[in-house]
Amino acid sequence: MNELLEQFLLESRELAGQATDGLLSLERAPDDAGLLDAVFRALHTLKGGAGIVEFPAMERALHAAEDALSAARSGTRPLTPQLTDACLACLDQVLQWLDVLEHTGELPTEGSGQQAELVLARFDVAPSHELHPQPVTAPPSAGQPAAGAGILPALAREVLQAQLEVTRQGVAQGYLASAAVTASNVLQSLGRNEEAHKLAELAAAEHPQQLAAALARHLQHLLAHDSAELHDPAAAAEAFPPQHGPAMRTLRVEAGRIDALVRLAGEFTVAKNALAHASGLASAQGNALAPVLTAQQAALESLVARLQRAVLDLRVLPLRVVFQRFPRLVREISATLGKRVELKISGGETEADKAIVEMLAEPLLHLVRNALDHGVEEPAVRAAQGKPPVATVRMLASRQGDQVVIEISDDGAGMDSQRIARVALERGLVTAEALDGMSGEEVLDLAFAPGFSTTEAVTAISGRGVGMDAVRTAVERMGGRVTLQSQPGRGTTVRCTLPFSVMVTKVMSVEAGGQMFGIPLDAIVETIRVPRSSLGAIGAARAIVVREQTIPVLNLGQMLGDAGAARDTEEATIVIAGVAGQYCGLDVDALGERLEVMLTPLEGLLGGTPGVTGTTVLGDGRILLVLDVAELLQ
Amino acid sequence: MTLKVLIVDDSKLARMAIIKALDSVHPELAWLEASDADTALAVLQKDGADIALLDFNMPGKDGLALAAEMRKLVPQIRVAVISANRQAEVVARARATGASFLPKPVTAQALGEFLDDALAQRGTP
Repeated sequence: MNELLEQFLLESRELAGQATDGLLSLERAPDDAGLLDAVFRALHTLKGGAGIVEFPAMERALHAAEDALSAARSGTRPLTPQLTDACLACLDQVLQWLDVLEHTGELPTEGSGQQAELVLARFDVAPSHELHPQPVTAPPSAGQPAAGAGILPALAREVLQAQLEVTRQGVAQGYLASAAVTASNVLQSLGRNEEAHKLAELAAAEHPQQLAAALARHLQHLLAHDSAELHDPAAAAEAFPPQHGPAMRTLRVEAGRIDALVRLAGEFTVAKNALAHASGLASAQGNALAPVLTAQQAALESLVARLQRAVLDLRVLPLRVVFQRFPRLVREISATLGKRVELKISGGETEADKAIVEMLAEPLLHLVRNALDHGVEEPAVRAAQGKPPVATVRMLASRQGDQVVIEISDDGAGMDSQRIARVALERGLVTAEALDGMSGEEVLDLAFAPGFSTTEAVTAISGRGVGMDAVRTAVERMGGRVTLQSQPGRGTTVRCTLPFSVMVTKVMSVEAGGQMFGIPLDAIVETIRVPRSSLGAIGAARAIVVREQTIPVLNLGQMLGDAGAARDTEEATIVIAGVAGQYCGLDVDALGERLEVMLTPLEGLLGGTPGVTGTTVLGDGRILLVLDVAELLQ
Repeated sequence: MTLKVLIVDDSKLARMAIIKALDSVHPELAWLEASDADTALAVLQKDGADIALLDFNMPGKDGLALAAEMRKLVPQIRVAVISANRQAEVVARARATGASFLPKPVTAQALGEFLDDALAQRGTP
């Protein structure tokens, strides 16, 4: 991509973002002349940019939006919600085109003309036939769309549908071939030449049954994609251009290169640890060089730590990257639900590792959907309770120490803990006894349990309420925690706490069955030494009572497949570890030291190994397997 | 003494495109950039310029207003206002302030013609 295209990409993304924000603000303040002006100029500049890089489809699409804003600015034609929708759809299309540019390095050409037409159709502008990239060969009359009527897609759909019917009627080869040709001609007249060719080839190639099936498949595919209108709420949530990566930086670096740098920094850690080990050996052996080595190693240690931090810093992104899609989403979904909601975002400039920011997209989506669907009440209900008619959903990010905290809160109905308790009981997720002993927060926490759902009706918006379970899983996989707070009638707050950086983990190393393992310090409650006889047997398993709680004891070596690991020492060393309220004791041979490690995630054959998060190499060259305690507990 | 062209547009992309066109038709000219009217006037006072290419559509002061102010500061400066709006009104207003008009996107040819003209009027070959 040349410099001009790169600048175009960067600038256009920014301008599209500004225009979108402006349009959304205009909905709340329709007479704000400054806003109208700003949005108009953003669209105008966007269009200008498209002209500079010679992207006619984008120019045409934006021209319509620009005209609409110009008319609104001069008072000729007000900016109706429908027009706003059209402008937003135009900007969506622009963003999609930009994504293609970013990924392929070239301007999207195939199909962009038709995509521009679809945008124009929303502005009640008659499509122009100048835009088709290749001259149209005279198609049979059935395939000819009504010229200039602005219903291009609708008529095309009818014809394609008709051809689909033909495939279902068990007709002869000749008819099928002819249907394929007709469909091909329809596509060609729409400028979709590649797809048209595919169908034309089909007509020439296949046997009758195969042809019917293949043609039917193609047609169904075409028709299904065509109907993804943005007014369909479920599709609305899905139709958002996927976030392909940040364009927030002035220096554009391929992600792969940063990852390579991170791996290199990890190797530095290994080398540094090896040096520490050697230095230790030298001291132990009374080697004359030992003091020098130790001093140098300390200096290196500090440098490597700084390098690591700097490298990890390269991978951080502002959370804004994942937050910015939500104002649109909230607008679309709340409109569908007939609720009035305002999304307030703050702390978007807070940064976190790229992996975390990207991971958050889906969980946040679940949480926001839940808030809109279940949290925020219908306007009538809110009015009856004296609540402001427009509900507020807040999305907040902040940095606390070496953690990042993200909160989604709403001022809606809150969660009914009695109802949650009842449902959890019904679903067998908890016993009556356990419930008795639970605090209010612990009861709410049941909402995260797999298999829990308080929606009687499965809605297209929120799915089956499995969102909470998935949210917790995703966040914990990144080393974070999710908690809930709620007050009936007042609202709910979901809080996700995540490590600022995923790559560096603090572990305690242990030895078991001749292998070194790392247990994340976060997951360790304590370590104890007990006489082996105090380990009670429950069937084939072992357990121990600690502070009146019975927890299972697992022999780590045995668990991870080392059959010869059942040692019969007098004393057992148990590491008590737990995640989300579940605990177990890990029977190990020996405790090692606390280490800070940069993990290399497991890939390839080992990628699916349960219970292991990643590996690192110790100073003496041995490999340390870092355990995933949550997975072990299952 | 090298003649200077001052390029004013709030879009960096647009400035890059103009610079590219400039390099292709009159590489001997030096150029300066500014992204808004205030900066442009400051640059004009500090470094001076012989020719100015101004985007019409800018936030705050637009290209035409800026052109008028520039001529007050440097009466002999040659100005072209650049706009995608080919409306007669904009063109007329430009001419009224003694500025030329260049349509957007700026082509090397149109820019070349304007510059040739401007340079000739200064008596420079």
